Amino acid sequence: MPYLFPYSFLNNFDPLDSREFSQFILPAADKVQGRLNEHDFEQSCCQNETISAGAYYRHHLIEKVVDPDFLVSGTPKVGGNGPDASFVLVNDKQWHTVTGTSVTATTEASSIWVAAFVQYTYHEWTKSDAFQASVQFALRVDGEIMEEDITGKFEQADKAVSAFRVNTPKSDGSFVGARVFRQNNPHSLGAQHRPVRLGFSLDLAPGAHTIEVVAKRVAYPGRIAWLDSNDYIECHTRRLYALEVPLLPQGNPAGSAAVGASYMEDGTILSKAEYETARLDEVIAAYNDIEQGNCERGAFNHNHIPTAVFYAHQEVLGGTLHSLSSEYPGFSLATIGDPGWTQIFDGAGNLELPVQLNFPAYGDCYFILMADIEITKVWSSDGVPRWGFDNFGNLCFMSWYAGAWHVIGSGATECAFNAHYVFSTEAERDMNLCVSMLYVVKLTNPAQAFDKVGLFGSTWDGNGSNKDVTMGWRTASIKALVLRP
Amino acid sequence: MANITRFYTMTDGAVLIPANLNEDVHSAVGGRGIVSEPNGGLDSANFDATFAVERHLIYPGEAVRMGQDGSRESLDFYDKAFGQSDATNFVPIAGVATRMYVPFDCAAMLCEWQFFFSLWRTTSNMAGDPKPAAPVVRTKAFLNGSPLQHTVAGTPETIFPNAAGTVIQKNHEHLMAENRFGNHLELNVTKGWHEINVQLYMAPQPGTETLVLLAAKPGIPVEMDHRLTAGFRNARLIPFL
Repeated sequence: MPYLFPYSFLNNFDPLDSREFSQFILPAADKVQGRLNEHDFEQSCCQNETISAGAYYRHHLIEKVVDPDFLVSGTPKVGGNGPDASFVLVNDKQWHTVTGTSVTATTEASSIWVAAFVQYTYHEWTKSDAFQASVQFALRVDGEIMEEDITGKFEQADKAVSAFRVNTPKSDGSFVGARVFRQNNPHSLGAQHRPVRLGFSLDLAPGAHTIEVVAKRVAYPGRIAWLDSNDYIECHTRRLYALEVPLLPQGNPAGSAAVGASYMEDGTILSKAEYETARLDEVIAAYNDIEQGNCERGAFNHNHIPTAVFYAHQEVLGGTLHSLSSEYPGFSLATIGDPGWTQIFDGAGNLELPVQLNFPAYGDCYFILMADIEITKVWSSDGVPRWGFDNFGNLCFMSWYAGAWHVIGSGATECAFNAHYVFSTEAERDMNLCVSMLYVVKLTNPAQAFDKVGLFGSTWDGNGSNKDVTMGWRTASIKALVLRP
Repeated sequence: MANITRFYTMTDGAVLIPANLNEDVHSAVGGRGIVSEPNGGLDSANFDATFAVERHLIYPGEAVRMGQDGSRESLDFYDKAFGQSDATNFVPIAGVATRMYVPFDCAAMLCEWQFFFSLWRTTSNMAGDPKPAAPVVRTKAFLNGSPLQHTVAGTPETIFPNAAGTVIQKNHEHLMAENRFGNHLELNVTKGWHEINVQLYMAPQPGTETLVLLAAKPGIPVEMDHRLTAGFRNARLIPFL
């Protein structure tokens, strides 16, 4: 019985029975001793300041930021910021943990949302022909690969079916009937240089869990360059964020639930001291000073608690082709112009979030920043023929405050991709690569206040002849969530 | 202010007034009655100064919930199964979809999807240099049946004929194999069923071409098609109160 009703009312000429007086008091006393539930509280009774850190969910974040040394080495370099900053994937066709992405947490029974980002590069694209990176990424939880999340196909050795149909048999009889032609092995990521986004949600049993990004090379039959020492995948900046949401209201309440209102024994002389002071006032005091111990587990629902997000916003643009060709200024530099970054825009304006938040008030919150953009092409715009693989596009987030754009996270949001498809002389071909970005940061208190966040792009070429690469885009979006601690 | 205040003060030796005594048990007046006031009347004023809502006090799924579906088996799509216009002819990619019931209004809902794919896509006209644009092959996410225009994205060309249009000079399906991750942040979500899915449109390849396969073979009249093969894939919804 969730609601409480009086056992009886006292009427004129009723005998004054101590048992009946007990029944006026005890149901209410019983309820406040750990049985207060969702029916007892008013809507919106829990204010923001009432919600403890970790009450809604727990955050888990790990990241490794790596400067790929683009402008130093000409091509992305091994170990950009030290021997352990980059991760080099072993070519043994087994899953390996991408170091710097592993989180171990002891959880209750929980649902968990995992979001990950990895920037990888393949050190073989300057070969005389186009090699695919042949790499798969996935999320792994407690040793089990989250299969629907793998960046690949189930059939790893099955050649793809060529999508044409022979209309007329050859005269020599070599093409007769509905013959199926199979050619190469598109079973894993092909691009030589690009960021990868992963996401998954699942339920976890109570206990310790390890969540991580894993990667493996996938070799196809006939791949002769497999043992080439240059044929390897290197991961640069990467991060993993997990949001752990409890499935059961577990935990130990703090505070005493005891109320000093006892049953009035038969023969008790009814008096102000016995009824009002020792019992009624005790119960009233308990209701006016509710502690955790007075409440049931799961006492509050969505009617009582405030929103889970302090800020949620999305801006989009799309539909028309646009391009930029400003030269990449260097890692973690906020230079605007050429050389420098150019804000992603369309005919209606720039792609940016009007944050308009007093972020210092949200210390210890988590700021989740995401963007998706369809890169239509990256091409040599100087007319100099070269491998398209050496044409690169870069993206990053920047924040606006004090009248200027500033790099977010010291280069942590930078990502890059190459024109992984053709010679530059075939630049008119569609690439249409969807790049998805993720940046998560715990806002420290006081956090930097900023007015807006924008998405920026730049280009460069791996041969060192700058200002001759252009990238185009068509649709894009930027979105952010600020989640309570 | 929902603090419970005592209405009636007893005096030893005086006549007890039952109606007044009852008011302190159950009353129609707010802020009065130890039995009536807890029936939805308690608020922040009743909390101890140190009261804090911790995780065990919140009913599960009331702040954030999540739902996901996915698929592992590869799935082939050919352009011949599509209509001539992309206005209404997008077809769902099975496995890149999920549906969940959101039992209350929410401030925001994050919709995410991810699918690996490779494809065979080329121009419909093999002759000439530069080649004309290949017929479109596009993906687009739909939320509750409505297209999310900012998620429209084309796909790469993967088959490159030579200038004369007689030879498939390159097959780059393996190079362009891609993991397409996308998301959408829906604000002010109303309670009810919500569904996210990603759909595909492939403009049919017109005409018949004569070309040579990658191996040195004589010309063979073939009918060119588009094919998109979806690999591992999933989609999820995460509503935030």
